[in-house]
Amino acid sequence: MSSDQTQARRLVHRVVRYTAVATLAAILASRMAAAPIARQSQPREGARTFQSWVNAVTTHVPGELDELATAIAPWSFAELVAVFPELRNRSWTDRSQLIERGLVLHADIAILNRNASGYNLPAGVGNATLLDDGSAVGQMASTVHWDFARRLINEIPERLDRVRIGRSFYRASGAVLQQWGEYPELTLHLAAGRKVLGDDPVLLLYEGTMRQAYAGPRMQRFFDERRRAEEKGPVTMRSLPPGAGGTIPELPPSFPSIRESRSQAERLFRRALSIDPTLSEARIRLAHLLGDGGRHMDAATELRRLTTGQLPRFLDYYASLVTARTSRARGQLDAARAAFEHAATVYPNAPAPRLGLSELTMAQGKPAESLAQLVSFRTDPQDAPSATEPWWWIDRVHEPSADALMSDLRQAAAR
Amino acid sequence: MTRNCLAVFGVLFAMTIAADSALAGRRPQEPIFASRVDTVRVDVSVRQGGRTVEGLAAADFEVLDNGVRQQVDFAALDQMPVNVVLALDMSGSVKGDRLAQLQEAGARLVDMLGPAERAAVVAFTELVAIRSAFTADKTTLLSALQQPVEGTDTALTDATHAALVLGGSRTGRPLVIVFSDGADTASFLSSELVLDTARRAGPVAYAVASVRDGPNDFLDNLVRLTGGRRLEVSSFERLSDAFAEILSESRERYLLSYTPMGVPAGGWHEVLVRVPGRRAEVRARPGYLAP
Repeated sequence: MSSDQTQARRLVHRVVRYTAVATLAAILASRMAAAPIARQSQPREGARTFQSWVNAVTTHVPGELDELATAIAPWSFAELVAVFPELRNRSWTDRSQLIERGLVLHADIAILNRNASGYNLPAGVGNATLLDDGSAVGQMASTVHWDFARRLINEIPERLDRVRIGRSFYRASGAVLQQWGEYPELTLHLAAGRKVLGDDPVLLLYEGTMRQAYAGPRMQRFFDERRRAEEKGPVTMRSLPPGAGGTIPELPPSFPSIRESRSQAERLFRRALSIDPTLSEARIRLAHLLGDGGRHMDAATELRRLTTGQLPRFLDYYASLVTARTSRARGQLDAARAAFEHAATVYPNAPAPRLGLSELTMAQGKPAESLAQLVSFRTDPQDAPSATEPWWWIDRVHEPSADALMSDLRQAAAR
Repeated sequence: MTRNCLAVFGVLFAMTIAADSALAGRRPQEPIFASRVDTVRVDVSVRQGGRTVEGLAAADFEVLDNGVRQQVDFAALDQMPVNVVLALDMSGSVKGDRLAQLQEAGARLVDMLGPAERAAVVAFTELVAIRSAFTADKTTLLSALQQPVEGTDTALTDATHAALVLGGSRTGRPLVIVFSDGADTASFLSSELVLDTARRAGPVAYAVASVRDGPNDFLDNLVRLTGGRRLEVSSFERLSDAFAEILSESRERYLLSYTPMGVPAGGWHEVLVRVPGRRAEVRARPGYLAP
């Protein structure tokens, strides 16, 4: 193939790829444009639509799919945005209170109508599980309720309220999206959050964690599959991995390499730490990332900077494993052993510390002890592994957890 | 030498490392193998035209230990029973018919085991589960093959580490067969560390992978470092034949032994085995770690 032909082919592929993004944009635009039509043709219009929404917001029981929340759930984007004109007529105080509670309503609708395969909502943009080797690596799923919630925040008139409410909402719902691996939606969320909050250290942590996931083997393998598919020709639904597809944006818009992803994650974690040096999770993740890149001295430096004091359980475990790996890589076997043993006390059924100890003792010429460490977790076939080993989802989970943050958000709205 | 080292380095007899500063070019404190030393055992596959070359004697082999030619004391097509660890990928892509075919392949291998031979089963997703320790009880092994594993990801290097450690825990001829149909997505241990385990552990490792998976540096290095080989299968239906082929081939490997002379005692020893005058494919560990 000539270089001209190759270039032309690349151009076609690029166009196809961006067509997917454009498709989403078109869908969103059509929703906006359809709003007046919807108001003309639907019974829920204008003041009546607004009143239905207000009733749903004010009677909503946080954390539950009550009757009016269930009634709101299937609304189209056009119907939802039809509440804005009436909302803007309310006093600043009324508006902020309604929006704060409304955010919880729409988050609950999204969260409680979601299962393993995506959102069970008619107005969703699309659901697709990103599969690789038969395993879910992420989700390309979306629902209008996230988009609408983001727009609601922009309707909060007073800046301080907007920042306060926006911070709680984006931190909680961002953690939820990260937990699900909904990277396209999370990307939109983080961008919108940045507009409201500027550089928020926790949102920077989330974005860094997303990049950390992109650098990991699950997403890299998925990217490889996609890259190979694109090299063969324009990516169609059939050439995507099983389960992927739908009218959804292609995110990330390119397939970042391990190196690029690590570099982006490092920059984001460092930025978060420059704003909040006590953000332990960002420091542990940074050390983890540096160690994965072979920069063990730098990783050790970051671990020494960890704020002293008792870390929450998940971070204690994570820090112990990263410390153990860093020490092992630097040949400090006693320190590595101590850190692995501590991790094993934090999550007693987790395999990672046992594997680390098994490898370590093997390297020390103690094969019998090495085997004993492996046998220590061999017989619990009934346990769900996800419940026992946080390491497997280390790039999805935060401290505080998504559940805890959502609980705080709901409680704040209920006051 | 400790019992551990017997398993780990494939060294047969008790070792005394004698310090001999008389050899020219050596630092005075550096120990070397001298008159009373280990016997090093090397497990060697010699194949030509897809078949084992039979009838070779010690004099037919040339062995270099760190570049120094050694006297081969013993060479025989070994009759020592094989102790095999099956490390089987049961991740999300190995479900339904594929899982059944994998289990059938394991069952056929179990059925082929001789009376003195043992097997163990390691099944893995992101979780590495030792489903059966070494046993000759075929009912136990068949039951272990049928047990599902929670999870969908692939912790290939973690599982390989477990299989190597388990395989090295028995005397006899330790063999590890690793099957995986995908790349590692969930291991805690790095491939570098597990390849280091492979250098230290005794088993010869064979890998079975799907043709469609393409290159896998980890598996290629694993089989190279342990003197095994990688088999590619075009479909899961071929797994059964692949496992059987590996077991048969493992029973037809030569055991060589030599007493290292004129080389420093400790550290990594590069070993090269050749069969001069034949165009045979010779597979053996590329070296061993001496304490």
